[in-house]
Amino acid sequence: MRAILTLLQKDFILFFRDKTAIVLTFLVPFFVIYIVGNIFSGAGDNGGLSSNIKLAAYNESGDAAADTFIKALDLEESIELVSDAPGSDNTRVPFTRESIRQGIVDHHYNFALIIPKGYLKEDDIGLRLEFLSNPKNQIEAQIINGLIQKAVFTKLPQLLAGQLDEYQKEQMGDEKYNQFLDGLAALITLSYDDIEYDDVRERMGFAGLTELLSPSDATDGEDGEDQASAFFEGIIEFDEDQVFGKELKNPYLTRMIGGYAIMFLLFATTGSAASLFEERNDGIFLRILSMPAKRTHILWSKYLFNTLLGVTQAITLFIASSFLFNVEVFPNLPALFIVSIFASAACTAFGMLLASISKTPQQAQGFGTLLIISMSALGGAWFPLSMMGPTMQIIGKFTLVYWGVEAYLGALWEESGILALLPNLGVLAAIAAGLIAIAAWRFKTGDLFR
Amino acid sequence: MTVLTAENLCKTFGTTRALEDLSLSIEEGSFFGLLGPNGAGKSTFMNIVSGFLKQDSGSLALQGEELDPNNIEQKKLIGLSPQHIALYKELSAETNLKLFGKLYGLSGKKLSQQIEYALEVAQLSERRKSPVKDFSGGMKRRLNIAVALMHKPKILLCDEPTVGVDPQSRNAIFDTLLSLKEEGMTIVYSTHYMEEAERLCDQIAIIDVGKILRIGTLDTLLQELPKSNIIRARSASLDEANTTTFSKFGAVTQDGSSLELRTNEDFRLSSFFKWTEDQGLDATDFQIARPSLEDLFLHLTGKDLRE
Repeated sequence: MRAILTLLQKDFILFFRDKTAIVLTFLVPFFVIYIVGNIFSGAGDNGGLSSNIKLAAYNESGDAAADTFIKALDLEESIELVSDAPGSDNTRVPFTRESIRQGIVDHHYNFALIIPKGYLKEDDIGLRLEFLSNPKNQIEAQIINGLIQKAVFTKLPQLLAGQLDEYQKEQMGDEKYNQFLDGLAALITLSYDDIEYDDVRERMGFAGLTELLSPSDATDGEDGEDQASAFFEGIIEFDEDQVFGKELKNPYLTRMIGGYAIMFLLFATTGSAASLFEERNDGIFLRILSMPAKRTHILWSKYLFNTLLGVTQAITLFIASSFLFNVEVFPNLPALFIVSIFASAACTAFGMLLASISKTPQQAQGFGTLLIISMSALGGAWFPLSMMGPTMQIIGKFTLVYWGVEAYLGALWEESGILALLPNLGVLAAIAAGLIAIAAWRFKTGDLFR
Repeated sequence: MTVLTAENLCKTFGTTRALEDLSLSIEEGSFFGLLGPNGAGKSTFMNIVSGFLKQDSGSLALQGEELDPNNIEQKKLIGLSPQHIALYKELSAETNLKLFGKLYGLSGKKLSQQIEYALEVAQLSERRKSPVKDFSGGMKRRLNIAVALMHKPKILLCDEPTVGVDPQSRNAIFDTLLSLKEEGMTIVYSTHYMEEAERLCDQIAIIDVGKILRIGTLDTLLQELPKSNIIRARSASLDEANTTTFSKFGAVTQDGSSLELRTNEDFRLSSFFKWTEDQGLDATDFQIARPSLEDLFLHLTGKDLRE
């Protein structure tokens, strides 16, 4: 027992001597809860969604009632409605069927709704909507599906009902239709003792009925919504067009694997950062620098080795996922290989930076954990960025995780060619260059070569 | 011919002054010793000469030309055997030599020849394929030196090359270094063992807290000491009366079970032996010692070399 206490005391003494380790001990959990809290702090009202998901909407029918439906969608707090497309000279132009789909291909948004010409069924009561999607993030896709269904089932029925009233008036003529409703109201009033004719008459017709079933009626609440859903489920038809990832055999893993590959590369780089300290402590750097070699030679050799190692490991991970879980890797292998080079280069640069700013391997480990967790959460490796607040979304786009995940999704999920991936690869290259430049500067002035 | 000259070298780490106006010059083909306790600044000096560190001020010249850490030709003139066992321990002796040889710009036949040479110097030809981690401390130390010899440098910097080495391996290292000196190599050797400096070095610089206290040959350095001898006797050999009269020859101090007498300047050996005869003491119970570098260091700094 005495030995255990003595050794325990030793660990505490060592711990309290490393001021950075103490700070990181408290900083890491603080950051984790800060990020997770930002994502889930709105749980309840919006099912955890604290920000907006972009949804493009195009009323091809030109119908005024359909416009009302689009306005109803715009009222949804969690939807950021996009109603036009970029034109020339920074102008905005109305959507066309082609441009709204192109917006998904060009990654302006991942979901779009088209209210087509003749959206009201001709042969039946009901309507037909077109839903275009790139469900590269499953959580986001599930949320937007839920939100659209909610909007459709709660708002559109009122519009549809109004149209049915108008339709009936057109078919029967105003007078006959009103006579029909007056008679029906009188019949109902006669059949029950405790109701007034005026109340019943007011609720007659499709509009009155849907008002009765509407969730906006405070007395009905969710029950009304459920009833409306049940009522209209059979009359609304969605034509779905999944723009990307439609034919994939394992869509769930295909979506997730890029994020995990990036996290894997990042954690591997913290190991490589620690190896730099080992060589320093063994006096290897001293020996090498006494030879015709420079610090930059050490830096670049380590950088190249770890980048190549990262590429090898990432490709192994993808190939294994292909054999074990049917992820469609081989058709996209050239693109995956290119993305892995850039992602690994950026992650390795991050590892080199860690080594250059840390004084001990423990500090590198601590900084690494803090930054990797933060970047993974903010960069969309765990949750879609749309679940975070606007500021966090902007910060997220400054992380290499975001661009790495996007590049891997581009290669695997969207099966994009190299050209389409160039913007993401360019950002990864810029991140790698920036990080390695800072690391090189720190190597010249920092502690690693003391 | 002077091969290495340092003038007023200064180096500070934080608030610690590692080198303070250090000046010295080293002759070609000499065995130059840097003798000082741990933290004296020996390794800092070695690291500056090898190009690992840069001095804050002062100058350093190699064969009359200012030493530039980026000058590859100058680096090829220097070989460093660091204080650490700076080897890849998972790799074999031969692979280590090959890798470091390539860094010195060797290749092909020349590289193979130098590997053979280095293995021979390190007496490790038989163990060339064994991983370094399986070597004894002495073998690792020898290989640590051998790596620095791969390119046959003009100057070999040995930073405490015998730390943690058994006496047998230590002697092997000494023999190797002395034979290299015979071949004309200049050796700069740092140590805190005064016996090593006395045995190996032509020139010795005594260094403490970043300053050179004295430089010279062993003889000239020892002449710095006051002219006195040290006579040691076992306490048990002398009774109280003897001890009192013993002290008339100089200052007596108790050192464990021994009495140590540092003699006066007018000390005469004949008078001392006459005294032992008069006291009925056996002269063989007394040991007369020559002053050492340890004494000089104590004399100069007031502290022990191993403090």
